[in-house]
Amino acid sequence: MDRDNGAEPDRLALIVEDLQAELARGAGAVEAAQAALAEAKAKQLRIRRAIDTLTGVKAKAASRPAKKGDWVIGEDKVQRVQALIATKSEPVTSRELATEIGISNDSVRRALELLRERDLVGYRGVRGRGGAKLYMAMPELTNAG
Amino acid sequence: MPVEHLTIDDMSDREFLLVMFDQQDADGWTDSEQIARQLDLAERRIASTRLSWLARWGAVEREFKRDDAGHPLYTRHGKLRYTQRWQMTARGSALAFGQLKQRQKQSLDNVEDAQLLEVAAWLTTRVRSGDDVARKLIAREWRYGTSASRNGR
Repeated sequence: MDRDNGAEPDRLALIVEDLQAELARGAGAVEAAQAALAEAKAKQLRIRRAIDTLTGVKAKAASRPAKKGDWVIGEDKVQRVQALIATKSEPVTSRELATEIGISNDSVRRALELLRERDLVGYRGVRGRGGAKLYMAMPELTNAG
Repeated sequence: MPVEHLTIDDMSDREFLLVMFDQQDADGWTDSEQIARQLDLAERRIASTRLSWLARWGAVEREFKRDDAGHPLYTRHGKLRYTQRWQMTARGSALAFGQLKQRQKQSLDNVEDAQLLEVAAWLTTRVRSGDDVARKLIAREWRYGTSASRNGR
């Protein structure tokens, strides 16, 4: 320790020693708590297995909270979107279709992506820079022959 | 947010050609800048890259620069000079709009799932004996149609 900070070197050394001892005691407490937690978890697992064995039914796992993007659109809505977009002679946005059909824009966007996967609808760019995406029914791959 | 890349997984060649068709002028030419703007691409170059590939496979062609007499202009190294305008070829048009006859389509629709493997085998044999352009375009269409991102995998 230097003398510039005005503290006596011996006194500082004692303080540091005390703090190190306190840190060591704290580390011991953390270790003990972790061990107790691990033991509690292992006990829970044993109890759950015992319940499974006795009841023959696997205990229900904690269900994963549903993510916002997990839902699947119904085929009836997909068909309605397909039927409407087939009548359009110009590319349209999902919002325009949603307004006409009377279902949410999110549902229409999902339906459009699904129809795009089936090659029934094509992406036709955006309306203006950074604007809404435009879609249009894909032409039939047949001619009149 | 402008799009920074346009891979085959992002957009099929067929969709791209249809956008090109939407943007073409009365003479059938489309400027790559118009396509870039329509697709909200960050740069014209992204559209030009896809167009260059499609030109290589014969689906589109690029306009030559010409002098007042209508003769093509060349660089100092003897290469043709091009504008930024492109147009669909007959092959590109067939890819975009289809040329199957109704009867042919019905026959294909009637193929049962169990027979699809045979159809796939026939198709690969047929494609192998076809020209490079057709082979490449079919391979790309297959890749786009079966890409993981389009099938929720």
